[in-house]
Amino acid sequence: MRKFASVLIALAAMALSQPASAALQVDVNQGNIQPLPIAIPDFVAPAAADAAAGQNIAKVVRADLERSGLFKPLDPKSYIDQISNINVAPNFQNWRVITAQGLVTGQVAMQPDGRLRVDFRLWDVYGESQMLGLQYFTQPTNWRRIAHMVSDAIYQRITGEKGYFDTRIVFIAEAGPPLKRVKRLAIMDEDGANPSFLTNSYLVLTPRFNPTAQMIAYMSYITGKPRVTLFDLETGRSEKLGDFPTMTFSPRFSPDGNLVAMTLETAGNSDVYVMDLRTRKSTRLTYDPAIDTAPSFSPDGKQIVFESDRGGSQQLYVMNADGSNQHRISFGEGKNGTPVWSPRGDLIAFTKQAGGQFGIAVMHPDGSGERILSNGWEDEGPTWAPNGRVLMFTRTIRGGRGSQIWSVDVTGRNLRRVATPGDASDPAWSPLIQ
Amino acid sequence: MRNRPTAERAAPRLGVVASVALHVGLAVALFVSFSKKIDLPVDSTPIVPVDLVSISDKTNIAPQAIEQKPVENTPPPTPRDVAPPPTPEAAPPKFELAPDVKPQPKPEKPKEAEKFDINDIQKLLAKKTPAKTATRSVQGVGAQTAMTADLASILMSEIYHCWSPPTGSPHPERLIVKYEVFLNRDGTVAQPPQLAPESASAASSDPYMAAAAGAARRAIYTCSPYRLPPDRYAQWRNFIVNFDPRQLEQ
Repeated sequence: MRKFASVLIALAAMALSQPASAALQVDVNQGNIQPLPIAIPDFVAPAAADAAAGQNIAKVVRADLERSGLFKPLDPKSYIDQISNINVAPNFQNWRVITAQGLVTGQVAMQPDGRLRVDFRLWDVYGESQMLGLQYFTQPTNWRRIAHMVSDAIYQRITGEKGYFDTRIVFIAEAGPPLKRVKRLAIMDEDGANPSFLTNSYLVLTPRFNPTAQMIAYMSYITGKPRVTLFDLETGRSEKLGDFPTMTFSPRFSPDGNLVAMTLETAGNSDVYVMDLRTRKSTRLTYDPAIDTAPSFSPDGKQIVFESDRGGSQQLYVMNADGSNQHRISFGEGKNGTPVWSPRGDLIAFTKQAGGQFGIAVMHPDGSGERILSNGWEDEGPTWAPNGRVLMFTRTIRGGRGSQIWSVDVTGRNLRRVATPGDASDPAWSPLIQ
Repeated sequence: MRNRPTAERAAPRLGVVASVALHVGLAVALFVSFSKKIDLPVDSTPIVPVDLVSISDKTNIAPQAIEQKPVENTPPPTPRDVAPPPTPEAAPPKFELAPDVKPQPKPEKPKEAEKFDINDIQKLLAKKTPAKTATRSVQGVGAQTAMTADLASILMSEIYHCWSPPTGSPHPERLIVKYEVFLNRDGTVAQPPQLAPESASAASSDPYMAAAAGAARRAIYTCSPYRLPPDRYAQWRNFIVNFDPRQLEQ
């Protein structure tokens, strides 16, 4: 009897261990990369006075997602349904008809305390389920930031990566004739809104954000000699960094914001230094007689990538944050400079000069997998979005007739010009605003 | 020592010269050729239109029906039971000439069941015995599972159009997503696709994987209804699909 029982158990175990009933296996290893069709109707406003805010927020969200190249917001004129209540499930069939795969419904309502309340839901049109639902309270004047935060939340839910819409860009605004060019420090939202000048008419270059996006380091000619300067966005105060007798330039904050790596030029020799902002003590990291410059920290702060011509031509090198283990990582054709480590850590972006052109390229930190993302008459000076997915850079028009800021996806797709008020160069992308 | 006469020395010299000249001439003849138009026959192959026909439904041989008698609870046969002794009833029948009489057809009594009463269809249906459905228990070639490559190919060519794979992620090689899909006979999605356990656990901890699973799920839905041969519904009513972005340009 016991034997019979054990046979039964064995048979049952065999039956349970059979694979899934589906015998047909389909391997899909090709795709059709397309932006996600998404419908974003104007946010509902129960009070007529809030209707404009509802329309404006939806408009900014549509523009944000479209700009990323990963979404295709559908024309509101094509909508069959009108959303009147965001607390009931939409009629998904009517959104499928217009090919929407995602649907965003939202509502704005002014609160008795004077704050604006914004609710939104992201729906999976085919799965007929809610993917996300969030609520924000803010001062009515902050509606643009709320719109960017809504965009970031949608972007993250769909792509798995944090968004980058609630960020700012600091850049050099250029004006005037070529011989009397005025280069001022300017700042704007990621979508080009709210531009403003931070400095007056003196020459500044290479601005960089600190990790809290409250401080900017840049090179200034305000005293006639190039000096790395710190600018506090909250107070508007600026301060010369260190008391060096000679030129300092090319600053970059460490990921924790406590250090600034920069280049110090002495008697024609440039080397990389690090200054601790807490003690104002500086440490020299490179001692090569060649030009070592453009340092950039890895996101864990343990390594620094920089450019050097110690090997005969301008190439990329990586070293530990204490200056040890300096080794070359770029060996391709042409010259490579202005490296920037991705916030994601997987790539280093740089300017590649080859074949009479300047382009933006990326490679892995070990030097493998080099890919060209843009190629122009003069594309240079990349800066990463905080999610490591998108890059901005300066594009100089052929013949040096003005400069513009452009952006490109890390895949090389979605190359487009960034809206700026006039000529602009040297962009630096802030982290997500806290 | 006397020198050889001049003629004796001249004879071999002439032979050498002649031999060299002939060899050089031969070499020149081999290397030099005169251009001449060679008219090769133009081999124009006629274009024959060909229709590609899938014969997998013919070659996918169904199993030979193996009748399995129900096992009765009878004791095993004894040797005596195997060879029973012949009985008188088992004697061969005798053949006799039949009398030349035409058999009179018996008047058949109409059966009640064959009457069609439009008002009593329910009753007719109740009398109908259910048709026996063959259940296929034999796996392998006869199970018609080995010849589904054409179905997999059809499904792949449909799904890849709908699949916008994740791009730009740091580790695309990790983003392989496996779903089990259930379809209705009309090719529409019958129930929500089921994420394989290994994909589901990865998606719960990795946001990139969660996004990849979402993209795969949207592809399954947006491709619905699937255009598949209806007569082979049993083969495609549910299937497993692997979304693999490794070979894609990132």
